[in-house]
Amino acid sequence: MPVVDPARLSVVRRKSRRDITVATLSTVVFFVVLGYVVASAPGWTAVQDSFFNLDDAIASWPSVWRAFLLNVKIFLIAEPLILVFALMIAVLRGLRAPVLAPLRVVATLFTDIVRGIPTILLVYLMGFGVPALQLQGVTNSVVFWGTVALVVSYSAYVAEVFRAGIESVHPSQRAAARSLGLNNGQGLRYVILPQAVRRVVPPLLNDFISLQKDTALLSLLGVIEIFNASTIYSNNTFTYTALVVAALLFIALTVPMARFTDWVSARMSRRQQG
Amino acid sequence: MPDNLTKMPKLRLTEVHKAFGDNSVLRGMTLDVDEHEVVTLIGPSGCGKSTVLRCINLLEPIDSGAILFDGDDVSWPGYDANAVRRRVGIVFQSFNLFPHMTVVDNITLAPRKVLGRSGDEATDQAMQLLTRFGLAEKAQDYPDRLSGGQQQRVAIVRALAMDPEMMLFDEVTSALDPELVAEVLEVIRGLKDAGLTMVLATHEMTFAREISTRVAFLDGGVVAELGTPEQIFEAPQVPRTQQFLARVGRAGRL
Repeated sequence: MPVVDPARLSVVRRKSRRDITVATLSTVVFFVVLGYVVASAPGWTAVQDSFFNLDDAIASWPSVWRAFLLNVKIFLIAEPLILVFALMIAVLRGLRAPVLAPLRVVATLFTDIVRGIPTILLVYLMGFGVPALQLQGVTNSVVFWGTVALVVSYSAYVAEVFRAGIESVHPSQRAAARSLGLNNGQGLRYVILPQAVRRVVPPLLNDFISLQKDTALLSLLGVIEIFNASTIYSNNTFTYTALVVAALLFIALTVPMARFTDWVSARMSRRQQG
Repeated sequence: MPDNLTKMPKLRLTEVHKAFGDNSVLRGMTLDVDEHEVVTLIGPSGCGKSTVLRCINLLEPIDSGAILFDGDDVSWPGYDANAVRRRVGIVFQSFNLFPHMTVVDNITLAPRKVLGRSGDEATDQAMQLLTRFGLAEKAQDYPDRLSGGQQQRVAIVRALAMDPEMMLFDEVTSALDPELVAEVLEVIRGLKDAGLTMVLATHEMTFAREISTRVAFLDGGVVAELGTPEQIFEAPQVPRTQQFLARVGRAGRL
């Protein structure tokens, strides 16, 4: 049995109770003061009526929600493709075999050029440009080409995240893999990549969240996704509540995802470190 | 078969040179290791002990000279390095276990992927080796949950699972707490009794004296003196060996 001094323990417990009380009180006070400052602003009633109108929220909900499902669909299709392409690009950049030199050059050029172009321009150029080519046998859907633009743009960023992860694995791991007779590809696949991917889960999530929000860029192509749907409602009623509803929907999507990733990272490190 | 081939040692280094940039680490190292022999490399920091082991395992390319393994120059550019590494195991000072895999997965990875053994076969062999070295109950643990001594024993098992013809040990006890050193040295003693050919770089002079068939004192990137443990530790002929052993003795490590 561990030896614990009861007097010592009661002091520690008392202190921790006091800390919790202080934290709760100061949080309540902070939000009450903040609420008071906002509510006492001269324009508050007008803002409340225009931005936080429950009737408008309910009325705009069906069209905003339906449009939001398109954003979610675009995201769900784009994200796995981005992960695959980005990992491929990152791996290609790390290959040393001379015969693969052209692939390495292409991968490097791709990340350099694409990362230099603002995503908004890429969406415009591909969304309007490719359908204008009137290619035979490929779709002219702007949703399709807008999604391709997002995949292209984010693959370049995520590839750099993967590459940073690969380079963060200590060279001694590669040496250990090689010393066991594993070739470069096997070492990468079984030893380097599993460790690299685990390390970059938090920055990957960061890019996921950006992508979820950047699906709204397809509004530029005239796609009725959430931003366009809520703007249409707002323009018809001269209120902004529909946009606030849109913002809340995005938050409802990203916050659970952030908590989920925290949980995954914590579980991984618990398993390894014990 | 010609006579000179039958006399070929298991491993022969001839005039091996290796520099990192302007820093020449090996300056014409020559050494023979016969089958079932245990050769220990001792010497001051920077004498080239670790580098020569990494060169033998082809983890570092050499600049000049030759490394003959069973008579083949394995150091020549373009030689199939993986084929050599299948036959020569190495254990590092810093263990270098794969932290994302359990102990048993660490051990079975190379036998499955390189030697093409089935999962069951590789696992059976891994469990036999783990049992032999008293680690069977750690099979499903991740490396970070193990003590340093246990991790290093697992690293040795991982190398042994490839059934190597020769093992290289690169200061395998230098990163361990003193009370954990003994368990790792015990494993190496067992391997000597089993007749495995070994080359060790070590700072454990007492152990070097006990386990070696021959001891090589390295200094300035060459073998400065080579002999039986008795010759090297009791009657060193070369002044640099004498100075080194005197310093080690003063530090209480002899």
